[in-house]
Amino acid sequence: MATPAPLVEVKGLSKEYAPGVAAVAGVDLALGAGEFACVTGRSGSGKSTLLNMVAGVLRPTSGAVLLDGLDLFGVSDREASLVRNAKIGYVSQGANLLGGLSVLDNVRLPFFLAAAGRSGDAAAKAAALLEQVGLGRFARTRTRPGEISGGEARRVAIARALVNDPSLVLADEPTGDLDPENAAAVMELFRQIAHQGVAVLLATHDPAAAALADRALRMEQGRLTECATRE
Amino acid sequence: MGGRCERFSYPLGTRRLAWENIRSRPFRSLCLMLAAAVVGCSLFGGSVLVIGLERGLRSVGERFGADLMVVPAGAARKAEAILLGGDPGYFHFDGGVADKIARMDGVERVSPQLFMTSLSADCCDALVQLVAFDPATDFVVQPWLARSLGSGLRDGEMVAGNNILVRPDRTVRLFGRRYPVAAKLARTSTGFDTSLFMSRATARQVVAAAQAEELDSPIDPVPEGAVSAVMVKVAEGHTPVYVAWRIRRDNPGVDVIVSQSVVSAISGSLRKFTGRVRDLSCAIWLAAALILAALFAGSANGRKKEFALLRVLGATKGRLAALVLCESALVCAAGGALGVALAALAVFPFNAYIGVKLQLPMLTPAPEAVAALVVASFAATAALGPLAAGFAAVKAGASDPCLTLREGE
Repeated sequence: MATPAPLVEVKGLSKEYAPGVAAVAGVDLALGAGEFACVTGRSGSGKSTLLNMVAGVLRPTSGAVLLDGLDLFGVSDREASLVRNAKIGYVSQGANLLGGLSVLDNVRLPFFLAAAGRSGDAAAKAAALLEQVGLGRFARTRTRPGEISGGEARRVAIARALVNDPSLVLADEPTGDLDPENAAAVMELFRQIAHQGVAVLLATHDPAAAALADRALRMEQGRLTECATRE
Repeated sequence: MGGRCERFSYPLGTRRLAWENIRSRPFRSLCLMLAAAVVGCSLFGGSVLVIGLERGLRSVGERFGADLMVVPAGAARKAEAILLGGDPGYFHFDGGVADKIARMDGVERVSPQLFMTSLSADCCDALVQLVAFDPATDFVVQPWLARSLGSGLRDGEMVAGNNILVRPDRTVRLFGRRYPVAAKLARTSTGFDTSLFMSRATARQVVAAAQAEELDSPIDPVPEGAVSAVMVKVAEGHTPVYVAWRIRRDNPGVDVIVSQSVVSAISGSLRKFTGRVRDLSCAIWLAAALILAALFAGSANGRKKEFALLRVLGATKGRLAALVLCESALVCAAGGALGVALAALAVFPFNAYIGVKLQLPMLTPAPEAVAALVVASFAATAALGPLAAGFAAVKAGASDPCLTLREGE
């Protein structure tokens, strides 16, 4: 029986911000649907650069990122944007919510950034996601991001990353500024997301958080090594 | 769940996102809107002024009616003040001049007019200009009276200028007697607005009434057969200036006003003024475009992270550009509406006062012209937004998505 093709394939990915200074050097990685992988490493080791390239927002110096067989840097910017919108959910270091929109609107925002002609308003979906991340009460109010805590904002960002039913979720230091209790809750959320068949790639410098992942990867001086795989 | 969040479930399209952005930055939005309001106000106000003045000038040309106006020597300025400024006055000379001029080469028609004034006293409703014409020869007053009345003016009847206050029973009181007002003329923004028109026969009744009242009236000394002005229509093939020169040469003691000169003198002043208004409107539009462009570009700079986030979430460059352009169009449209409304409030109630201040005839443009100006001024102001925000839109599209991802690094 043939092995199914991985959802994400990273081939010989390198990024040099200055000639001869590689932030990421020749990284290869394959990630299947439902896999929960975690990249650890010190600050400046190249974790965020790797995630940005996998998300298709940072062009690599060399190498390729294939999502469902599509080379993210071999297509037009418009096509890459639409693929990112439809298939990738990104949780960045800060929660990065739009202060002018309500919590619910922040969650359903990616739905409306898709190509024109999409019907529906994603309100029920966004409300369900807020419920899933334990913030169902914000689905019924006009609460603004400025009125919620950092941990809540991070969970809102996770809900937003899921609103378009992505096949890949990327998260950069999602527990960075959270207390241990909130950090554990957020990591549990990612586990649940992976169990729903979504590939999750997470970057963190917190070994405790990384221990919860199925696959532990380590980034050192731009090079990626596999540390452990949970069966 | 879906039912409970229904009241918040409007689509978050480009317009909605733009509106939410405008709402969430009230001070910035207000500043941009006020800048656009200045443009809308100057475009609409300036256009109404220019068109109103041009209409006023046309009205002067139409109402003047004759090519030449022969008046007693030294009375030319007073005559122009009566005709254009609405300053009541009177003067007269021997009516025999009219016959002499009628026989001159190059003269097609002549018609005498008599100018008198009422009194600013209990006997009269107001101090106004009285203009008596000769129905048999008149070619100046009767054509537009006929347009207003649909028929000729009967003896004893008068036609009132637009600013004359007519009593509820449609009469005016002069020297203790009431005269029926057959019609009230449309506004001309000239001396005709403060004049009462009548035939010479009616004028004689007015004089008789004044004498019967033994009033010290300025019309008392009008001798029989005297006239104030002889209106002259020049025959085809002759130039009014040349005929005027010949009248002056052959009739010592008269002065000749050439209507073309009067109109072109006003037209000259008007051209200067309208030129200034147009230049000012263009300058304001251009300055506002530059200021708005700078404000939009500055705003785009301050919103780099927001644009970067939208790019990360999958917004295309075109979508971001559309968002910025939509925001600018909404702000400028609101500013344009405000500016047009403010200009309308400033110009329409005070257009007569503005005309007096500018010493130029000013008429409100026709309703359809006003409607067209509202639409054009609003459109030009609303269009200013997307034009000025073009650079900001490109900048927004070119936002580096990594900017938002790098936070905290």
